[in-house]
Order: sequence, then C-alpha cells, then structure tokens
Amino acid sequence: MKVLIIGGGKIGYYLAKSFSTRGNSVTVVESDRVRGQRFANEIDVPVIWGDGSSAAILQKAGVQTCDVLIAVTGRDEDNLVACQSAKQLFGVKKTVAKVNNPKNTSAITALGIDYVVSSTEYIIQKLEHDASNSRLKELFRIEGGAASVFDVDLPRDYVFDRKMIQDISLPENCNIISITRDGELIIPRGKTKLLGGDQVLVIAENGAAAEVRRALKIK
Amino acid sequence: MNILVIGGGFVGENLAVTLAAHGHDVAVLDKQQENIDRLKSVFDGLTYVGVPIDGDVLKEAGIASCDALCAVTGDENTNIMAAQLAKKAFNVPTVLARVLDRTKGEVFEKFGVHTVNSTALVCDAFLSALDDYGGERYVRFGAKQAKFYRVKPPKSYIGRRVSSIECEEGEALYGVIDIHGAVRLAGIVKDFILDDGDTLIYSKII
Repeated sequence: MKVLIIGGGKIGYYLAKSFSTRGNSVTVVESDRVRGQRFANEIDVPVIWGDGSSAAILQKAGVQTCDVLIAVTGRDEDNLVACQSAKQLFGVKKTVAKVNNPKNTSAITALGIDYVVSSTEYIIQKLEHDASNSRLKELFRIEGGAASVFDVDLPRDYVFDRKMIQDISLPENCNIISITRDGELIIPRGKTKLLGGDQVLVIAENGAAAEVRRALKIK
Repeated sequence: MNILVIGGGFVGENLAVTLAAHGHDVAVLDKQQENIDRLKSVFDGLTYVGVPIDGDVLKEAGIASCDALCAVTGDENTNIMAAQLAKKAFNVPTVLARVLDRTKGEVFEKFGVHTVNSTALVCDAFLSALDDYGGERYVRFGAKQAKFYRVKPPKSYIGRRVSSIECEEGEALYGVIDIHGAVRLAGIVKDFILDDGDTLIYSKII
C-alpha cells in the first residue's frame, strides 16, 4: 500500500516507521525544513519539504498514486485542507485527519474526511480510564461516539455471582460481548453464568453507562 | 447585512471599516488580542478574541445570524476551514475566504466557498502599474474570469468609428483610451473616430 503522511512530528514519525516496517511505501511531507531534514536522517523514507495542503507539494509527494493520505500536523485546518485537496483534486480514496481540538471532530467529519481521529479525546479517555476507581471503565468509542465498549471488573463478592446472563435484566441498548475468566476468553450466551472476579466487556449506546451500572449492580 | 469578518489584520481592519461605513452591521473576530486592540482605535463595531475554527467561538461571535462571512486572516487554511464551518454548520448564505494559492481557490469553489486570491490580486496590480507590461487585467465575476487587455489600433482602424470595429469570437471592444489618457466606453461612444494615438481595450471571458 502507498501511504502519504502529512506532518513529520512525533506522530508522523512513528506512523511512518510503523507503516514502512510493515512493507508499505511511505512518503512524508513536512513544512519545517529543519524538522524534515532530521526526519529524513532518522528513517529511510522520502521526505518532501513543503506545505502539505498545497496541490503542487501533494503532487510532488506522489499523491496521484497513493492509496491513503493521513494528515497528522498540529493544525486542524491544515489537516482538513490537505485531505480535502487530496480527495477533490487527485481522487484519493481514503483520507484520515488527526484533530487536535475535540470540538472539531464532528465538523471535520461532516466536511467529507473519511476518518477523523481526535488525539486529545483519545488521550483524555485513556487517562480517565486509568485514573478511574470505578469498576466500569470506558475502553473506546465506536461510530463517532454513538456507542462505547466498557471494561467491567466484577468484584470477588459479586451480588450476581453464579447468575445466568439471561436472568439479569440488562437494558435494551447494551450487550455483554465477552468474559475473561482466569486468563481465558468466553463468548457468552444467555445461559453463561457471571462469576465474581470476571472481567466483562460490555457494549452500550452513548449515555447508557449509568443504566449498565445499575443493571449489573456495580459501582 | 450582518457580516462577520475573521481576521483583524490590515485587510480585516480595512474591510470592516469600509463595510461599516456602507451601513452594514460588522463584527470582527481575531485570535490575537493585539490585533483587536489596534482595530478598536478605528472600528467601533463588535469585536471578539478567539480561535476562528472553533464552532463555539463562531457562535459567540454571532455567526448564527450572519448573512455573510469574510475570512481574511493571513492563514489561508484557517480561512478555508472557517468558511466551510460557516457554510456547513451554520448555513451562512455567503462565505468568502482569502487564499494565497491558486489551486486552493479552484478546489474550494467546488465546496461552495468563494475564494479571493490575494496573491493574484497583488501581482495583477503590480503588472498593471508597470505600464509597458502588456496591460492585461483579470477580473473575477463569480466562477468566471474576464481578461481586459490593451492594443494599439492597426493602421486599417484609423479614421473608423468605434461601432464599426469587428471583434473575434468571445471578444468585445470594451473601450478606447484617447490621446489624452481619457477612457471612453465603446458602448457609449459608438461614433468616436479612432485616431493614431488611441489605445483599444478589449475584454474577453476566459
């Protein structure tokens, strides 16, 4: 696969490294000359110096033949314009933009970018997850936040210990996806029993976390 | 009209003051307090400090009730993004963005953002000012451009009326600069007789 990365900062660097070690052809565009040179010295991928949102530079970087363009500069507007230009002028099939201001996520998605990744939101989620004392922690969101997958840590003295899933009245908008017990993964059915100490993955619609907590009787 | 100007630099300041003088309700948003402070000495309309590519900031600056948005910061991508937010998220009927790169103008016209290419405008002004440079000028009307250019009348035209001059397909005789430097519109001075020292101005849609 041919990957064009706009932005040679930390994210661009590790992204380029990861894609190229997996056998993809990678080109990087960086607007800062010094940073671009440093980048080129460190990994063996072509680095084009210039404004990655301009048609001339995109063309120089081979946008015409790339399969995916990933824009990871520190500026949301640059990432947006790079992706839109690549799509509109060169028909690039897949464009991915990093969004720094989480408030821009939905707007940028609405402006036609295929995948929008909010780094801030992702880090906050991860930190909240790690810092939380709760037994129900959000792991990640899907479909732009329409639903989330939660990691539920059942206590040793769980009130529903040995209770079958079908006998617990879970809300309509959630489901148990998996149970990890003594390092083993179980895909549950209605007759599967929950045990104290189980690690349970639950998928729930946005806003249903409190209901899930109530239904499973956990803190 | 209710107009929000994004960018309070020299262009933004001039635009805001001129629009306000024409009786429009103008507000200016700039991300730098210094720009707003300077602007306030010449502009008494509403001003806001904030990041222009943030929906909440745009809302605060009253974008929801705007008839038009002019994004004229020195950063073309900021202008393009702000203009698209205005168009898509707030349904502002007219959005204009200042750009520096010609191809960006072409791309974003397709997204419903009218662009004004300041690089081209400045170059054009310089070229026109250099009198011996062919004297071509380009003027934009919506998505089309008109080219105006000057030529000395061929010998065969001397002594003929303006109305008798035939033009090539897609071209029109726009006017005549007479020997004293006065510009006469071809449509008005149909009976004007061409002289040796005159210059013809042609227009062409390109």
